Amino acid sequence: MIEFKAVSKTYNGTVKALDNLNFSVGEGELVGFIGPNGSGKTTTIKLLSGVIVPDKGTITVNGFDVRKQPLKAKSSIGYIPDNPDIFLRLKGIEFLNFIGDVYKVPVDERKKRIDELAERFELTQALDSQTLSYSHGMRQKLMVISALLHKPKVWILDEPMTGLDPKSAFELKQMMREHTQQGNSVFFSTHVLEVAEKLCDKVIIIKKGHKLYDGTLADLEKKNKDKNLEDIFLELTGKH
Amino acid sequence: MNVFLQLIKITTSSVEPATDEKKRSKAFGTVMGILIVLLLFIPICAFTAFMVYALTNGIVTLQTTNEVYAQSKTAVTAGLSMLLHIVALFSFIFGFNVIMSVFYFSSDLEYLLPLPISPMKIVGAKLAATMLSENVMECMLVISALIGFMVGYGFNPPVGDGLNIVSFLAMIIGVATFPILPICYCAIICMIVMSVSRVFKNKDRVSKATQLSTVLILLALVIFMQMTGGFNPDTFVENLINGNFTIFGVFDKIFCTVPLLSSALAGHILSLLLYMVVNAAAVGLVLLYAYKLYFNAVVSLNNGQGKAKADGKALDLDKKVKQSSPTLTYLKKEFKILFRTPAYLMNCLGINLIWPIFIYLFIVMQKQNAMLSGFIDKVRNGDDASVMHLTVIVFAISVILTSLNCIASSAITREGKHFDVMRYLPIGMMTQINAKALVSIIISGVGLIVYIITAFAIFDVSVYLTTYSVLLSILAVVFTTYLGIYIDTINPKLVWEDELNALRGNYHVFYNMGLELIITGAVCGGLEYLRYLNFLPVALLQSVLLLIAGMLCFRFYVLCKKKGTKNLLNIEL
Repeated sequence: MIEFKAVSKTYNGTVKALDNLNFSVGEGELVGFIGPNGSGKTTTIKLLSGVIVPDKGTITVNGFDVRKQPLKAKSSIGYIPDNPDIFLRLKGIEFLNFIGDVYKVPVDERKKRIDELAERFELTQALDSQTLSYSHGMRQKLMVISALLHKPKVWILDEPMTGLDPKSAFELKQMMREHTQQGNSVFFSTHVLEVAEKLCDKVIIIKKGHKLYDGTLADLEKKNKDKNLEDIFLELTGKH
Repeated sequence: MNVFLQLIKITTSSVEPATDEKKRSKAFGTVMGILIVLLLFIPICAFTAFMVYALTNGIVTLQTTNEVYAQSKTAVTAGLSMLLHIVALFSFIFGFNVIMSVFYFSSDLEYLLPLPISPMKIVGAKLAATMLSENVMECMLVISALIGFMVGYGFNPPVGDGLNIVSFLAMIIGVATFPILPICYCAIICMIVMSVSRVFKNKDRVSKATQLSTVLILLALVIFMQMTGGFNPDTFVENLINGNFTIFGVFDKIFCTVPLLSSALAGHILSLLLYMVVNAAAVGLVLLYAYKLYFNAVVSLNNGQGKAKADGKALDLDKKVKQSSPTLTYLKKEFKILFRTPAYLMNCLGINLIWPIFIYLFIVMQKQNAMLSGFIDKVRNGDDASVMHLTVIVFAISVILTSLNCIASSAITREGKHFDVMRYLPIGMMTQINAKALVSIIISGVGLIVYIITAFAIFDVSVYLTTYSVLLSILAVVFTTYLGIYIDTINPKLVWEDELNALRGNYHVFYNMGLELIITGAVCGGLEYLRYLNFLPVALLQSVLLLIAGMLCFRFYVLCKKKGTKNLLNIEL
């Protein structure tokens, strides 16, 4: 579903954010993307979603090259950026309608999805208000709903749990699992190791644009007996 | 003191326009900056200097020929005072928006308020930042006025003592400190209003009210000036010395630093000292009000909407969910944001409604309709020169008004921090540009068409000329729009404090206006010259203008499609 081949990205010609990064996310896989601050997580996610372009390498999503067939690739993605403060003068329902139109979601299906997702995230009553009046968590929930509206094959989420209350975080995790059970893929970045531990089929650990580990957490723990995940992570990323 | 300087630095950076980082953008910015200085700033400053020189010279001449006036030592500065009053008045009128934006709406407050810094320091720094941001154009105008005065009055005038060391000291101090009093007035009024009125606890309401008051003050001023009588050039200087313009008498009392500075420029040291005392007292008063009122008002502000209702009514999705094409939905989104954001509502939409009122007031109320009706008669009778003039005026006004509302030249800048949405949505960049262009074309175009048809119907201009003018106006709006958007794609200002800052602190608006003025001047000037030479019949020249406008539309559309889209994809995020 996601192929990241020999991808490099440099900012302003000097700051190397990613250096020859390779990884893949298969059908039905739920992959956590972990790394310290400034490791290249957000850059990777922005490259995947087409927000920025790589200097070298190829990225394919759902079989579409992000550079050569950008619109088809983007249509396959449900993307949640790290900042949910988008179009704050629109009402929640207007924002969802906008996204539904852009992703060409038929009206009947759109109604059904909005009804179901808004109910699940307890946002139904707030949808008729401008998102300017929403709390950070409510905006984050709206972003989640908008990203799932068109039932994308691939979910790409940048720190999706930030600002969510425990119930909503639980719902989102549940939905991520359900999504992968239907043969789709989920790729998300997180700082919270416990979330990755409980949720992911595999994790990719990155530091300074280089991949440090790509595999299951069980394998990682087997290789590092008597150590908890936090210690392993800190050791890998050089904090110990 | 160090904290205070740091605060000024932080606050100023949020008020000032962003500088270009990329070499290409830097070069473009430099070229456009030079062009704007040459075409806009220098002519304005030269005109100001000349006006003050002509008035001062006229007064000096009058004083040498008429003994009554020779007695008045301060009369010689009347011309300079008049201009300084105008500058002070505009600082006051436009200062409200800036003060509200810097004092109450800037996002740095979120970080500054929890810090252990006194309100006096915060307000002091914000006042200094406002002064710096407002001072560039004012400085240039004041310097120009002073140069005009110096040349007009000189060292050895036939009356009075001429310029001395006090005059030069007053010039230096005046240039640096002139906007203090009007800005302090704005600050004090804003702080009082914000602290006493519960209505103004909502940012959107405050913003709308501030901008509405600016328009009302401007309107009142225009009406008041018309009521006090038109300016007769033959008796103007005499009336000025005699104080026959009541409005300047009133201004002398409100902006009392103006007569003091004028008197100091004429060489009176006591006036200079008083000028400094008044300015210092104004700043002191602002700080005192800040100490008493600022914190309470600023912490009780809420955003435009209050809190979303968690127990609101359930939505009727059958009514609320409707399908549109991606382009139409994008267009609707742009319209909603423009209409619902107070800064955009006023500066991008409101301005289209305001200018006809001002034009009406200037043309109709000045009672100088003889010239206008004579011109219209000539147009109706098919006089070649007048028809050509009208054609050129329609073209130029369409271009100027489209660039003035800055819908196009801020189209990308308005995206701000969520510009990345343009990149990740599965809609082509050109589709998004077209949707943004359509917003500008609809808003500017509809307004202009209505005004052209109404004005031409009132003046009984032929249907042919009306239809032609409407078509020409639409083409002018389209080319101006695509040029504006293209310029904004080069290096949009995506980081801004609030929406007003996205418009005010955006050089692209000026670049766009400058470029469009050059193009319009060249096209219209060329065609007028050809008409003057009788090179081609007017009907053919009109067709040529239509063709040129069409070609400009095509050229800038292609530029947006080929280079504008690339620019948008190349912006580093």
